[in-house]
Amino acid sequence: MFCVQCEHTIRTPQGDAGCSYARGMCGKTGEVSDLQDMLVHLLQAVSTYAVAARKLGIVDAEIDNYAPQAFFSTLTNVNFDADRIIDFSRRAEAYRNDLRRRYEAACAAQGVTPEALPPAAHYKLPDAKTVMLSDALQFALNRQKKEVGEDVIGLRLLCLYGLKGAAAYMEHARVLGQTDAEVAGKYHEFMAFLGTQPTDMGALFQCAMDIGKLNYRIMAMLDKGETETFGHPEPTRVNTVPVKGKAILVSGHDLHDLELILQQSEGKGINVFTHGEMLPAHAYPAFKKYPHLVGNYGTAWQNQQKEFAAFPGSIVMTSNCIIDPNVGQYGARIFTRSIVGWPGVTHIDDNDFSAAIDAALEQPGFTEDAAPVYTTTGFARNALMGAAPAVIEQVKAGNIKHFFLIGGCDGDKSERTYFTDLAKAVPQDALVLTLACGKFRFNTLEFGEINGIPRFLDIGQCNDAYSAIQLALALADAFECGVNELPLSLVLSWFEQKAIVVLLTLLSLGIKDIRVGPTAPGFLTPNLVGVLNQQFGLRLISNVEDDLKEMLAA
Amino acid sequence: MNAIAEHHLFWQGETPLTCISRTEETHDTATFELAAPSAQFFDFLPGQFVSVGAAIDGKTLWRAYSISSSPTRPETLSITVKRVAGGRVSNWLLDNVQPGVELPALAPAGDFALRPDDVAGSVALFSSGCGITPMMSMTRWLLENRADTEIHFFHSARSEDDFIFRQELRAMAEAHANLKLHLFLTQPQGRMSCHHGRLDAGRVQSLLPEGAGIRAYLCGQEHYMDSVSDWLCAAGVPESAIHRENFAPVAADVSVGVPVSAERFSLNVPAFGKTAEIAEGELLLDVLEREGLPIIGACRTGVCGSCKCKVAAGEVDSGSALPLTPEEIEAGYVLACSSVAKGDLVIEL
Repeated sequence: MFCVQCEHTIRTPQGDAGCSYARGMCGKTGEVSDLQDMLVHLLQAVSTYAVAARKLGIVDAEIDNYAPQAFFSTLTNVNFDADRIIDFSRRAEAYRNDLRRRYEAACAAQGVTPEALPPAAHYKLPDAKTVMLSDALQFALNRQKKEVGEDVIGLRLLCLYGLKGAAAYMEHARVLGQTDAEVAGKYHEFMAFLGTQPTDMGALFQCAMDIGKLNYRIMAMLDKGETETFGHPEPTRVNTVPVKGKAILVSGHDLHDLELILQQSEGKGINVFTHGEMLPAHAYPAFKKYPHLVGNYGTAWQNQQKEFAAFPGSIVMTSNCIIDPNVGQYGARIFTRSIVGWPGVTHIDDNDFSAAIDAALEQPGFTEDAAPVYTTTGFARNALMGAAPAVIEQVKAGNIKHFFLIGGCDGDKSERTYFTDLAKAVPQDALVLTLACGKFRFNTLEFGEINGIPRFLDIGQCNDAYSAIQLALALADAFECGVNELPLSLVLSWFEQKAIVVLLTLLSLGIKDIRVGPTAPGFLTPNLVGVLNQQFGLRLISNVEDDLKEMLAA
Repeated sequence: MNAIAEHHLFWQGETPLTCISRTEETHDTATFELAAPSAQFFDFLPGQFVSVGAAIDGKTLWRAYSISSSPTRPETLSITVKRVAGGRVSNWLLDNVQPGVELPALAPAGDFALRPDDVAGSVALFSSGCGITPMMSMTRWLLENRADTEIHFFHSARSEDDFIFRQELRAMAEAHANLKLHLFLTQPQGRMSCHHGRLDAGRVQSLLPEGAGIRAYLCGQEHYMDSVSDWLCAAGVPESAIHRENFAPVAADVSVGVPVSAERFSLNVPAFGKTAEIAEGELLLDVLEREGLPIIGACRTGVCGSCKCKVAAGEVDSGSALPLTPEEIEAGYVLACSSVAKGDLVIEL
């Protein structure tokens, strides 16, 4: 195996990065990793034919939806089940063959000579897993490192991992009925391009920026899907401690699944808790009508083996992040959905959550109410826009001098205490905006207000970076300046590929001087980090004191 | 689908290697010559090791072995394995592997190696027992590629019969004037010329050539390397020129077998409210996994660092600390896959 897509990847003291042994740091086996490489290869073949077919007017919505969904299964902490990865691959091959047949028929009908597509587009999936694994050697992402150099490999991976994050958001949007043939076409173009094993660094860099731009559109689609389906989030206080009674915990990003669970568990004496990235759900009007949605349990994903083990009910993982449920022995009461998978864990394929509900009823539930501890969420696009005039007024009056966006994915490295320390250290005349699961490092701290405006504003999930961008644009408009001239500092924590594509989006919008941490992605070489620093002022976090001084002086 | 196959083996996780020959080196040591699939070439540095898997009782146990062959002969890769009391993998290899047997292996690794672009004009190799294996790879490579490098090879063994590679090494010393072989036997049988008894400070001082620029490589038991290191420093060799193999595969191998009579210690992981029992000689990783605690054993041979954990209280014996930084070691971090308990332990994950 070779996998370097997450922040947790193995790094040697000599600076080499990447999981390349029998198991990755996420727990993914070498076998699953290799099969995922093979799936990615097949999905590139699908996209190669999708691009060719589109030129002849063939657009297949089913395939357009499937391709990013299957790609999402290879994201960090999503699917660890070899059999399901093979199933995804077989379906990808079938779609590729179907597109090829229709493309060749269209060529014949229109008197067009079929394009000479690269040999990789014709790969035939073997019957036996052993042969697949032997073939997988050819699909290793670092295979050509000696020939093309580590900078080219690094740029390819920046694009591939960024596109993977964008594919995940496409799938989240699709679940809410938001699809766009043009967006799908661009996805296929990028995927097909990466399938050609490009070596032109300029073209790869441009591809990375274009993926960032595409993701801006996708985040807008997702925002539309969420707000049209569930209403605009409103600032909402959420209890973060146990409530007495039977319990179901819903984790991941998929609000649609949460709604189904709330509907199906209604009147059964079960309390529903959100976990991790599901916390912002409490702020959507559509969920406020469910009194049995009682709070949020636990913190960020990396603590789940301890927190889920202690949760006295059932757990549903609607999307990433899942980690080994056998640690903590809760494998029998956790359920996966959609593209999520873990060998031996019950997968809910249709919209019937009765298995998870029954499992919750069999568990003891919480025996006591804990004294409430609250966090506030729901400062998404509309709430922020509604507050913008008051915020602008306070800025003009000199009461708000700086904005910090501190957010992104959490992880278990000790260096991540930086983000807590930074949130605590920002001056009292500054606002702290946050999003994604990185917030759990500081979202129960007391930040207070500035003349009625809360100093701590939880925007929502990672994809709600879209809302943060809207606020920044509104402020820039009000102050008649560019976003980079605003007293706004972005400090992002990253772990997986959604964070990568959000970063690409910000860079593609021209936003500069972003700080990222706790470490640079393992696939970015020092040269590439240097280029990003030169072009965008992108830099790694150092220490809170120095960084804060620099950010406030900017 | 071999259109893009390369001549050199591209390691990707476990790769099956086939034993193509077996040579009995001594009464308890054999060299296994391994070939890659599709006759691909190996790419490694002289001195590095390779991790090999052995399917024992339904479980694949992984151990690292220094490569004894030279990268100048890339068609095959050899490991030389010595039988040790309680060494499950080493003994299994010696009992079961014959030409034709396939063994899973992981890519060569390790910093204890000669860098072709940075070889000193004078090299001192110090080994004891089966610590000779990486030295053999280095010597073979040096003789074929650096005729102008002086090699001072100090090897310690119990007797002529325990001297691994005795014929080849002596033949090489006769054929190459730049190879000076200094053999130390504690129980000489009189069949070959050697120094009687153990290596000591005085002998190092007198046998080591004078002058700056010598670089020393040490492989053997911890106490042997500690002593040699002290003697070299006393002889004026700067610490920065002394390189030690910090990996002790034999220690890790022995630790697998836990006798019924082994002493039992307590293992406490407070963050998870877990207390368990760990037997003397039992690998920390095995116990943590058995107790369902969150730890990843990716390479299981002390190479990758995935099973890094902190010993908050108690003491362990560690066979490898390869991927740990000096700061981490100072802070109490160890590799669970390469550590055994010396008493009660408190572990932080």
